[in-house]
Amino acid sequence: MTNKFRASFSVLNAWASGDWQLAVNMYFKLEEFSTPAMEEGKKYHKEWEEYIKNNKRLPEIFGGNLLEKPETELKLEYQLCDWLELVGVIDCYDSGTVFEFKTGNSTSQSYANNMQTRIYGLLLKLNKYKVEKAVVHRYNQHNKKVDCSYVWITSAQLKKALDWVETYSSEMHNYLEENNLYEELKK
Amino acid sequence: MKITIDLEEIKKLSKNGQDIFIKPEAEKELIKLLSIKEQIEEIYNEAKKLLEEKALKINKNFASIEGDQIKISYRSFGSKYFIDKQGEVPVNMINKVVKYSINTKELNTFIKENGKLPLGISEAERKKQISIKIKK
Repeated sequence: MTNKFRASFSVLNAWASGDWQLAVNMYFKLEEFSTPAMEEGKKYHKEWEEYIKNNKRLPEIFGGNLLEKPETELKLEYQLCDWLELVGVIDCYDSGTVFEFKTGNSTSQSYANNMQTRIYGLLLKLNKYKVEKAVVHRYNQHNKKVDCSYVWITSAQLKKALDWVETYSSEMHNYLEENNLYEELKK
Repeated sequence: MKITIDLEEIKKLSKNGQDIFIKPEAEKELIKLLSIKEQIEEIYNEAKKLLEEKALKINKNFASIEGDQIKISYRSFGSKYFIDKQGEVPVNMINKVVKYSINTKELNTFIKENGKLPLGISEAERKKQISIKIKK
């Protein structure tokens, strides 16, 4: 049986950063990854998701802008080729805009710099959604400050995302196959 | 206002300005060059001001926007914090810094008397740069 690789941003990001063990553990869900900061982040995410669903607006802390037809926790998948599937869950999608909500000390710029928003743009495009831009809203719950960063999801950015996904997926998939980890760890 | 930038003409100003070493009238070329530089800087600063206004209108928490080739960031520069009440800061939150600087008067006297630098003091290698200013 041919093994298939389910690529997600968080797993590939760990792999691309050289944290191979973490990537493998995340891929096969070998450990529960949670810190107090992550739990707090999840709490905020849940509150914001509910707010958006009930009010069809961004949370007040992020400007309270009206949204047209927001979809929260939008789960998307796409079979890129016979061995590779790309998956992702977008915090909020509305009328061509990807919204990502973050908490903690890292700035919205640092999140905008990484591939996550571009990969979500790619998933949307492949699933025939309109995609123009991504907006990362960050709330630092420690100092109560907010910032936000924008990324235009152009065709060049989509190509960059696809190249990144294919490169690191291929590396990790080969590693898992060569070391027989699909069979060993799937159990 | 129509702006036409003829790079070849600007390059000529730069080339002709080298003649200042041969004839004083050549300074006119450098004055024109400086004027163009100033105008472009004004336009660039105006562009930044307008970008800031527009960004903050769109979102008061704006931090950055990026496309394929340009990234616009809105951030602070300089030290984030300063000590405003010397005697009241918790000791573990400050570093005491001792700064040494050369007493050039004493040093010059030493050099005059000894013809060399004292042990422990060296002359820094400083690269020379051309600057062009318009005299007031």
